[in-house]
Amino acid sequence: MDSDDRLIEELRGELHRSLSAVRLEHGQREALKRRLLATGGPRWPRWRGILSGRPGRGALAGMTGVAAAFAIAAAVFIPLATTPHPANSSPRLGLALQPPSGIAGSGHAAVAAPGCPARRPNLAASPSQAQLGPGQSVRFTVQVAAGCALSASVTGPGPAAVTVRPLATPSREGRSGISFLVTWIGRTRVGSDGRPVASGTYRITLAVGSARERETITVTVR
Amino acid sequence: MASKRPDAEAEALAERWVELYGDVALRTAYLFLRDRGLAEDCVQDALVSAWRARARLRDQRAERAWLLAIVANTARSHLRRRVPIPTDLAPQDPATRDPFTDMALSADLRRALDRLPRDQQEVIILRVYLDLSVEETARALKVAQGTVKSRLSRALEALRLVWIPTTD
Repeated sequence: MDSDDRLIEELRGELHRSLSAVRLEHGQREALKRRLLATGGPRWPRWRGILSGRPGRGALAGMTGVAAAFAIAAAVFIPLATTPHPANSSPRLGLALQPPSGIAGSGHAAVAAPGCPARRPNLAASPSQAQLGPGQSVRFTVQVAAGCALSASVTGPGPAAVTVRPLATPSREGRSGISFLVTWIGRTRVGSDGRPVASGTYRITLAVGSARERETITVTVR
Repeated sequence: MASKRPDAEAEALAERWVELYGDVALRTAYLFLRDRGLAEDCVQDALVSAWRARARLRDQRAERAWLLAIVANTARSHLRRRVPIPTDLAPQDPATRDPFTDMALSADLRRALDRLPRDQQEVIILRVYLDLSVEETARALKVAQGTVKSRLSRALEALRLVWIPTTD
């Protein structure tokens, strides 16, 4: 094996290791199969946007969680409803938030959808807790009643972040509701150094629209 | 043995494509686009295009290379017509980037690949990551086989200067 072959093998191995976590979600696999069998059908939802909690950055900085969630829903949904991207007819919204650097953190992320039955949002998260090493990530599946908006806030001993992504298209919501993927980022991404989050116990509080029901996921960082 | 109904065959093929190639297609698209959302869109577009053109695939042994070449070319096409994200939501600094960007590639490897010209990155993705042959890579990129070899050689030469493999 010459030096080029050796480098190719090392590079190939590193690329495969690095990308092993990049996978289609179960819901995306099913949606893709359906789309192949009925070509021309809608893409799975692709709603995206980013909310920064850093003071002075972006139009949303300094807003309360509710106001920011509403502003994002308006900022993302309205333009996309009126000027759809030619290559992206069903956008996805996933929001991430990082609290200000260097202080104990709280943050908020949300995915909005209309028509939620506020009295029975049927909020359920799985798993409800996780223990992680610094820098590790974990995903939680959250189910809510069809048509509900999901928001997530994080509190804890330091800055942290989550993203919220729907796993199914609204048009395919069943009676059992819609699933979201809440991803604990595992590091602050506040600043460019990618420092791991401070150790301690963080609480991800999940809420649905105006309903009083709350669900809490506990993340303990060792 | 009774043959399968055409729709059952189609279902089986869709199932096989998604299970066999879904993840590698997503990772390939991700290497080109470095954005999880765009990569997901790319995979959908590419697989739908391939599905519509599947009758043209004569040699089933070439299915993987054929399909992943379509993914690669769809990703290149997405790159060419990439639309900027609105300013308020754009990832203006490292604190507001797509969270999946940092999670998927190690910083060292990402920096090393970013230093390569686009055409050399493409050869690395197809020839090294996907392990396509020189001939398959050339066909996918619509260049001569000699061009693939020379681009790969130059890419390796450059990578050797800036990237140190991780030891387990």
